[in-house]
Amino acid sequence: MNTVNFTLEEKEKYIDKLLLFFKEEIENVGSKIDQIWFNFHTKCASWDEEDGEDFIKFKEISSLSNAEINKIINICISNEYLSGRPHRLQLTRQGYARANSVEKAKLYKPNESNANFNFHGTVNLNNSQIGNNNQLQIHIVNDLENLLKYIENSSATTDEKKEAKNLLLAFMKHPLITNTVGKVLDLLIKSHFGG
Amino acid sequence: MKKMDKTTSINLECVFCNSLEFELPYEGYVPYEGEMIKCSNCGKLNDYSSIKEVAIEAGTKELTQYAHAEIEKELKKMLKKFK
Repeated sequence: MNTVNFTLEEKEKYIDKLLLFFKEEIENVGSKIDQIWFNFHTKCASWDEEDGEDFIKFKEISSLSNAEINKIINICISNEYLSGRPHRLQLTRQGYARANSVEKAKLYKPNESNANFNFHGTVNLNNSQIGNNNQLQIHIVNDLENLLKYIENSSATTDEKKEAKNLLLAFMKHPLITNTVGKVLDLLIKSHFGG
Repeated sequence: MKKMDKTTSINLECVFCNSLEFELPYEGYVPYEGEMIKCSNCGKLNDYSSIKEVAIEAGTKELTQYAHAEIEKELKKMLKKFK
């Protein structure tokens, strides 16, 4: 029985590391995930066998102990990221998807035009300079327009949508906002609220 | 020959926590290929194309099993007629 204990963070980190190792090895040989097997066998003290070559490779890059590597492999098999037994392991579609997600997340840059809005914290306008250049104005108005579209396309009730839009209208009509964003905001208000 | 007609619905799952919910701009939004979508539960980014492949593989497996079962049923019926 393994007595290795990982924190949750360590476990997730090592799973990602192992799966990325599998993905890289598969892509290096230009194979498909179901056409290649990995040898993560560890030699038994009483048998005259060598450790599996993939085990040796991964141990070198991960600096984990034998017990830690075996534990991570077992976790991956239980979660269906890997299939098979240690001497003959395969990366599953799920494992490959996780490895792809981890790799691509490193290069991810949020798309500014994507209407994903998460409002956290409060917006304090007291003694705050919001900005006085055209680029900032257009950026703010674009965001407000996207927020209106998000509200309109959401699954909320008609009353909830109306309430949200009215709150936004009150915000857009605040003197500090209109002074800052000016005529560009007037056009937006007219197009969505009329008048 | 009996015509087999079956559809199945498979939800996309987060590859990190298996949650079925993702942060999307609005209901009915369809991500584009290669887009990264954020899990609502654990907050991690999933590669949409990859998790779609997982779902397709699961759906294909389910439908294949169904097809095999139906074919076996039909074969047994046919064999009974010859007894």
